[in-house]
Amino acid sequence: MMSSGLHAGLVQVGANYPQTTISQGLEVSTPGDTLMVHSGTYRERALVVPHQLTLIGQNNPVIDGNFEGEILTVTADNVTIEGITFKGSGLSHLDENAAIRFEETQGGRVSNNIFEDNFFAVYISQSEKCLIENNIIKGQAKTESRSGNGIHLWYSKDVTIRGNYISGHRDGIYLEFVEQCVVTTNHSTKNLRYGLHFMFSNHNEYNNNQFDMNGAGVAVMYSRHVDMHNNVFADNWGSSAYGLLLKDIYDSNISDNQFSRNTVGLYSEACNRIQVEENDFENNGWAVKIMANSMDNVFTRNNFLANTFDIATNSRQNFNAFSQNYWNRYRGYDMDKDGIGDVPFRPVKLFSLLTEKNEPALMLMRSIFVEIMDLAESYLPILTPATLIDEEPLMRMNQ
Amino acid sequence: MIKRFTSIAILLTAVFMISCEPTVRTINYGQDGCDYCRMTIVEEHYGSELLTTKGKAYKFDSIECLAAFVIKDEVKREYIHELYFTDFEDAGNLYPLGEMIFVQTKKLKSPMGLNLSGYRNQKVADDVALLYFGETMSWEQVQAFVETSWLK
Repeated sequence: MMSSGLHAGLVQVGANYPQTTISQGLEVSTPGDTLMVHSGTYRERALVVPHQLTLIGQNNPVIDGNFEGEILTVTADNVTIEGITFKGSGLSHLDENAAIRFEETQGGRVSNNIFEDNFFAVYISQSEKCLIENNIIKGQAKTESRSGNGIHLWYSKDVTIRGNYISGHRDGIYLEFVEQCVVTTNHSTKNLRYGLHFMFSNHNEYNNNQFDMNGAGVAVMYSRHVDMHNNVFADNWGSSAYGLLLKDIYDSNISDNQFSRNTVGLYSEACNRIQVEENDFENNGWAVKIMANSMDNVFTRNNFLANTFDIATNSRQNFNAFSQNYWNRYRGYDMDKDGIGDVPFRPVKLFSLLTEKNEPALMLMRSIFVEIMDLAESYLPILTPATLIDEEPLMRMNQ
Repeated sequence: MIKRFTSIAILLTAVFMISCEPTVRTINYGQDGCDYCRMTIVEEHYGSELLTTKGKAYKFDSIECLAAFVIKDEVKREYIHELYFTDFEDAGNLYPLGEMIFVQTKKLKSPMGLNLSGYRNQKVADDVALLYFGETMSWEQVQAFVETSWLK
C-alpha cells in the first residue's frame, strides 16, 4: 500500500497528451508531482501553482501571456520551474506584472528558462531561500518607463541569483528590503537604467558579475554591509551615469573590481567606513568622485590608470584615507628603492574642483591656463583638500 | 530712425524679460539624474521639479525626493520660484504646486518607495485614495510624512 504523497506522479501537458493546456495540467496535479510541458506555444496567463510542483519544459515550450497581466504565480513552497520560455507579461503602471512571481514562498527555483519581452521577468516577493540560475532574460528595451525589472526582489531573504544574462529591462537586477542574498556570475548589460540596483538592503554580497553598457551603471543605495568584489563595471557613459553609484552606504567592502570607461567610475555620497581596495580604475572620465559628506573611507592598493581625473571632490575638507595606491600620473622618485614614492601624491586637481562647482568650466579642459593653474596648485595647495594625499604612492602597479 | 530705435528697444526688453522669467524645464527621462537621490529619472508618473528664482531647475525622480530637498533647505526658501509635479493621469507633463493634490498608497509604487503620487483633479485623487486604500494629502502633509519617514 502506498500513499500518493510518497509516490510523486508525472503529469504531461502537450498537444498529444490528455492535458493540452498548462492550466488543465495544474488542475489535475497533486502536491509533489512533476508537470512536464512538451513543446508548443501555450497562450495562457494568470496561472497559479498552489502546491509543491516541478514544472519542466521538454523541447522548449513557450508560454505566451499576450502582454496581459501576469503569466505564472507561485504561492507554494519548493516549486521548481525549468526549461520554459516565458513571453509577454503585461505592461502596466499600476501592477508590476511578472512572467513568474513567487509570493510568500520558500525554496523556489527558477533555472534554465528564457524570458522574452516581459514587463517584469522574475519577481520574488516576501519569499526566502530561492535560487534563480542560468536564465536568459531579455526585455523590450524601448522606453524606460515602459519596462520593468529583469529580476526583482522585494522583502526577501536568502536568495541566490547566479549565472543569468539580463538585458533590455529597466534595472537588470533590483533588490529592495532584501537580506543575505548573493548575486554572482551574472551578466547584466544594456539595461535602460541600472545593471544592478540595491535599495534598503543590508548584509548582501555580489561578486564576479559583469555590468556593462547599462544606461546608468550600478547603484547601491541606503544599505549597510554590502560586499562587492571581482565585478566589472564598464562602458557607462552619460551625464548621470556611473560605474558604481554609492549613496548612504555604511560598513561595506569594495575589492578587486574593475572600473573601465565610465563617465564616473565610483561615485560616493554620504558613505561611511567603506574599504576600497585593490580595484583597477582605468580610462574613466573621473575615476572616483567622493562628496564631502563621505567619511572614514579607506582607499588602498588601487590602480589608477589613464583617467581624465583621478579623484574629484566638492570640498576642501577630506575625512577619507588614501594610501599605497598606484597613480600612473605620479612623477615622484624612490631613492630608497622600497617601492613607495618618496614624495606624496595629490590626486585632486584644482581644475576638477572647479568643474565640480561649475560644470561648464569643463570647456577649458586641456587649455594652457588650466595646466598652469593645476601645476601651481600642486606646488602650493590652497584650494584643493589639504589632507587628500596619498603619502605612500606605489611606484609600480599593484598586480 | 527713432522708430527703428524704439522697435529694437522693445525687442531687447522683450528678450530680456523672457530670459529672466524662470520657466519649467522638461525632464529627460532616462537621462537626467535626480538631484536628491542621484538615481536616473525613469518613471514618467513621478517626476518632479524645483525651479529657483534665478531659473535653475532641480529635477527629481519622485515627490518624496523633492519634499526632502525642500525640507533640508538645499535651496533657500526665498530662492524657490515654483515647485512642479506630474499629474499621474497625464504622465510626462509638469504642473505647478497650486494645482496639485497628493495621494499616498502602497498600490502605486514610486521610485523611492514612499509611494506618493500627484493629481490635479480632487475627484480623481479621492477616487484613487478610496480604490487603493490610500489617503489624500496636502503639500504640507506630504512634507510631514517625508520628514517622519526619512529624516528622523
